[in-house]
Amino acid sequence: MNPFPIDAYAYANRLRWVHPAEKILFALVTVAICLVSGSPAVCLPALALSTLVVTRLAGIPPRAFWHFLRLPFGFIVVGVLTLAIVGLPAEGAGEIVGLPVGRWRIGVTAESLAQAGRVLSVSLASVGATLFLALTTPMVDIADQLRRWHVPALFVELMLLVYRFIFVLLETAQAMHLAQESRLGYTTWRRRLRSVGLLASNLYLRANARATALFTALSARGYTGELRVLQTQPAWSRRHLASIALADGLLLLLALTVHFGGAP
Amino acid sequence: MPATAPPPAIYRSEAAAGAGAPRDSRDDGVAIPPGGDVGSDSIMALEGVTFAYPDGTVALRSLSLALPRGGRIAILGANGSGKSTLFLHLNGILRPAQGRLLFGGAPVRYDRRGLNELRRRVGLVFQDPDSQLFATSVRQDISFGPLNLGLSEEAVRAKVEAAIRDTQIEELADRPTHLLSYGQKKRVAIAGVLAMEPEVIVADEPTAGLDPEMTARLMGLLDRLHASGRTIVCSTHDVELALAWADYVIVLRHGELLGAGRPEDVFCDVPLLRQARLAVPIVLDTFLRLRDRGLLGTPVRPPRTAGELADVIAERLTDTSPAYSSPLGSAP
Repeated sequence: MNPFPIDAYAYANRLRWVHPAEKILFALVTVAICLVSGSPAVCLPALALSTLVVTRLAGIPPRAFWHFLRLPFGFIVVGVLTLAIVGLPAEGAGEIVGLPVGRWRIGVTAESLAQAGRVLSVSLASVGATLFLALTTPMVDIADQLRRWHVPALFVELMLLVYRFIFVLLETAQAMHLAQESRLGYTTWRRRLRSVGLLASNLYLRANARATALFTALSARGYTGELRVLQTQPAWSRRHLASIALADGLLLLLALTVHFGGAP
Repeated sequence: MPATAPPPAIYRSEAAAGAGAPRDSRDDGVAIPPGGDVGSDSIMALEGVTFAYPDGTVALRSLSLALPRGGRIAILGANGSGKSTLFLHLNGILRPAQGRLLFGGAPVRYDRRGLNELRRRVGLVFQDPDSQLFATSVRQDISFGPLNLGLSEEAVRAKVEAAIRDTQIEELADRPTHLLSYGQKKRVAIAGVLAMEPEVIVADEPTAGLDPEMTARLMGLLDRLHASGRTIVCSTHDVELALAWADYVIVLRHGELLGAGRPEDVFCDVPLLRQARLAVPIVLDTFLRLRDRGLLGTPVRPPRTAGELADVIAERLTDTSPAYSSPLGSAP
């Protein structure tokens, strides 16, 4: 029913009713520690922490978590490959593997490998912590929290409208796609290209019509330029805050140890 | 236009004279006199309203009509007859090029305050709930209207909860809007309008696309809102529904008033319905055919539901009057 499984989990997980600020805090602090530290020795435990919280506390199946991690993981690996493989000077630079390509030589050095490992672990840990937030906190809650933090109303409203109309336009696109497919719009590569083009341009027109209809409907309910809605009033939990402080504190301690202790 | 404008065009027809024997006002509904003259007891009225869209399409042509206070009003007309344009006028979204709109007898003012007042008192439920629901959570969407009225947060909260209760959507209140079914979205859209506590609720084809059960539930909801003293206006193509539900019917064609009055009067006027490109309700069609064959004897008032039609027939079948003993020979 919900075309976006991330969204479905956000509304149905065991951490759904935890104060959004607590969850945002945990995600942000974890990402910050990883980014600043940049060390696999910190980031891999951080990723493990996120995984544990998502699967154990929020009750999201590990397979599902891996499923969502897989796509960014693929991108990151491709990106990191270009860091690991570097051009080598002709005389060699103590490379682990080297390969002549025409007049040049490319290969992997210990340094480039370490660099790639750092980027890989930092990225994965950050994605993991962000996924924790996305999987446990519905967009409405995040937006409400941003409003409470006095993020400009225009930004938050726009964010919510985009989010809301993703679903409306997606439904429209799916219906159009079905209508095209039922009339053999996707049988050959050429037709496929043409159909997708038609769908995209039609979707744009529909989006415009939607915007007009929305404006009319909002005006009918007294819209004068501000989309004000009632805010939720979640309760803070000391226990949660203490747990977050403990977990991220340990992570920070680890980061400091690694930094000043000279470990990799 | 003078202040004492003539009453809006009134539906009169021979069918009304023949079949519309004076009858009691329908259950809790308002008493509409046989001629359909709403007269001064109208909550809203249009006087000679003309409106054309920027592309030149004339949607309303000097349209005059009155909406009876506390009525269950059905507006019928083929596609393009001006129903939706009329609705956008009732809420002040569109402004008449000529003529004027009255609320409670006073002309509507189109300044900021006047418009806010009109939009508070007239709630508009759009046909496509997706164009009305903008917020991601049901509760937040419902709170949008009352917050625009400039009420305190507690007052808004109370109104939102009351609207959720009245529309019986408690189990949806914490769901995201995009995970609702079409029928659920419709009810949430109505709750969003209801939270502003309007005196008039205008619904554009509220039952279009709903299955029979959802249709019944939605009409039940509108009936409850009507019972609490509100005027309900619906556009529909469903003549059976209009006949059974409404106590006042308005028929439009090409942006003009074709007829208005009690549903059993309007729907007995076959030529008018044909002009409006509407079907005769099967209940009335059957009734008229039986009457034309003289099987119903002395003038009977037209039925509005299949049940009432069955009553009329059953009454004749158990009747021992001379009209029944030789029905074919004694057409009145």
